[in-house]
Amino acid sequence: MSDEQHPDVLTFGTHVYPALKITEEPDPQHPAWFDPESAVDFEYFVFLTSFQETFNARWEIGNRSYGRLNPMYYYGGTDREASISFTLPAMTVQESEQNLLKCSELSRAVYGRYRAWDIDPRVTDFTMVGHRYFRVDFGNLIMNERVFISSFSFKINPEAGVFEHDKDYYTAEAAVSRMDPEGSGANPVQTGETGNLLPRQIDVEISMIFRHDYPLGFGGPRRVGHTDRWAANNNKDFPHGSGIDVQEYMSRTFTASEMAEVERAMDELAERINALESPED
Amino acid sequence: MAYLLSNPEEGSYSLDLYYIKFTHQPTGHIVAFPAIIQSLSDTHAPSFSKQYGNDTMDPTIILSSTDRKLSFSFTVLNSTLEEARHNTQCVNLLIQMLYPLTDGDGAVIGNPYIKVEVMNLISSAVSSEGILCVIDNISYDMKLDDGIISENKHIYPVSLDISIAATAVLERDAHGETFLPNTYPSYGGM
Repeated sequence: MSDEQHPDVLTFGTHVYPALKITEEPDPQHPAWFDPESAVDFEYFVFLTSFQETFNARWEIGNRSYGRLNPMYYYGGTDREASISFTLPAMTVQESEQNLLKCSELSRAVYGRYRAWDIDPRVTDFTMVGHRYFRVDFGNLIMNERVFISSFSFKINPEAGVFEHDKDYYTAEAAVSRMDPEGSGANPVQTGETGNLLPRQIDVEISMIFRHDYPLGFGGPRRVGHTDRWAANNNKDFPHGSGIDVQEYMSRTFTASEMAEVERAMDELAERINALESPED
Repeated sequence: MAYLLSNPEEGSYSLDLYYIKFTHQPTGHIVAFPAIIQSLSDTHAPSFSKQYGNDTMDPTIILSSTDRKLSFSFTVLNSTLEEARHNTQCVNLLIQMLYPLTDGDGAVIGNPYIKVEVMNLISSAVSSEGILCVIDNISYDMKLDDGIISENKHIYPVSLDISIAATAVLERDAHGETFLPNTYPSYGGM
């Protein structure tokens, strides 16, 4: 978490509001290619302005012979996509710089991963090894899900203004005034650097495609014998957390292997009880 | 089978009289919402071809089929934290209805057909239930300008819009004399 965010934002976020966490993960097929140094690790309190999710069922419609009322519908799966917009306001130069840094990091999420191709030692070449894998967490709206980030849009709001350059920023008087024990140690609204445009407000929009790493639907291998229950069998709401106990059809039940284990343990217990009740002597 | 009612304390008013009800056909799960309808459209689109003769001005029309596309949106309102939490589970169930029933190997054994009932506007011509639909998509849109309820790092919208696009599966009256019931489609009215 960044310390450059405004103290009020940090206080509010720490106690009430969830942080948006976007963490890059290793490619499951090529974990060795993962570089933690360059991986995206975004955790920030954002001012949410829009949250939209769509669930698209993929239906293929078969041919319909003449006079037939309905075609055949072939179900192929359900896609889940989300589009999130948020604002990053800045009350200080430091916060604005931090916002830009965070946007830089986040914008890398939509680019592929490359690695050196070392067939010929005289030539340095790179090859794309695929997209980046992310895990996103945002309170109860996105609960630690695996996603592919499909778009990133960055927009500054000129109406909100920018932080100004102060040509006297590095003078002795200015430095002394910044050493005021009641101050923050830095001039919060002016910068000594030239050529940097530091916006007071940035609007960001990101889209993501979910790639769930647990079964979806009803029934399934984790719910053998319970066909009307949610397939994930993890005692968690889907897709959004409710903050209360899950409904009965979402609640955890024993899987087939767990049930076999319980039965085996029960048999062992019964055998031991029998042995205690009828000793050989 | 789960039977969830959104805003249950208003049930005597909204859910008995003005409601939107969804039934997941493979599992029988049901969820119902008060009918705070923002939009509703029902398009009946015939597929046909035209043939022209040398001596006629107007074409001969050959109808092959007629499709019915439904599109509607409604608002879910949360006035308290408890209501927001319960309504989250109701909306969750609605979204989950887009997923199929699978067997022990994960193969689909029940396609996610959903019966949709919106009072007299989307209702069956042959029974008191809704219309069986193929839901193409559900869109979940938080109206953040209306405010949020936040508790323990969970965010609940005071107001959220659900938009649904669906294709109706045309119904047959098993006991009727006609292939397509004479009363289909029906919007009620005298």
